[in-house]
Amino acid sequence: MPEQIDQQSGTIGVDVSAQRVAEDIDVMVRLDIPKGCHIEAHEPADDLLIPTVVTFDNLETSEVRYPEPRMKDLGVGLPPLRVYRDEVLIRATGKACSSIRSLTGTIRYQPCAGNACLPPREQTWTAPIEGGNATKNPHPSAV
Amino acid sequence: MTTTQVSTYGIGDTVEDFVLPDTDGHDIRLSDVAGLWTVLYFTATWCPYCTAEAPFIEDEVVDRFADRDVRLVVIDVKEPPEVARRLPDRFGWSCPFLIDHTGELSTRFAPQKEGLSPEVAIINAHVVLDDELTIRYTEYLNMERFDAHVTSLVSALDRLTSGASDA
Repeated sequence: MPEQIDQQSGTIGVDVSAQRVAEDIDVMVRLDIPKGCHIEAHEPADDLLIPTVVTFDNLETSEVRYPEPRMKDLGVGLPPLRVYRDEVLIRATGKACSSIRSLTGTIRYQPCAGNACLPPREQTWTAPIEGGNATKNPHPSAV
Repeated sequence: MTTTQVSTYGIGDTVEDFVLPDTDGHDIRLSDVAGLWTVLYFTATWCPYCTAEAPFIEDEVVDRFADRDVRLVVIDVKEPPEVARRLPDRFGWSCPFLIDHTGELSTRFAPQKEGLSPEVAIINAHVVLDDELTIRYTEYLNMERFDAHVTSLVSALDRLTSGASDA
């Protein structure tokens, strides 16, 4: 896990794995948030704050499960922030066309480093789909 | 990463008059809304420190110093109007609220902070201008000494507007 967030880019570690299980695809999104940093949770303490949201380009999700946030009191008279720190696992289940071999998507989040709040960021991700038997050439006439 | 060097303002510099749009897209010129004293307040919706300060800043700056012609001009940094307007809508500000969508103007007021881009370093900053648009006081976000009631800004304004030395 990186020790310091890149304050110029504000990027965190994003690692996505996808597994085909029968008709569904199970997805696990792992976020590695540098020590001393946090990102706002999926349901922040204030509606002006930016929620962490994972979106999928080619998966029709039936469920996306975000972890419980941790509380962070800034001591500035606001309700405690609801944040994610360290390693965060977001799980999703859905269906995708049987021919696809990888999922793509985006994660949006707003990070804070030790001495600065940073603007919202978006990172795209790609994950190969493990397991199952994806159809390599679903439309032979097109080959 | 390439860093663009721009000249930035400091205390004693006279700010070039500028025009920025408000939330309705109307161009507002600084000199048209400035007072004998003007506080520029740089903010963004996603900054919780700004949200903590937001309920108090207009009272502490404009109302408290109403008899000394102190104006507040809020500048939202690098957010689209439909996002930025959530701040005045939420906090009921009546002061000018301008949108620096590109962040270009705001970065000219940013402090040099190692590892921080100017558009980040300027968030939650207070810059006090006199009637010639000369910078007389600045303060930037310090998380360890943050005070939502902007006590140090109020002290500086009291000192400046009463004619005491600001040295």
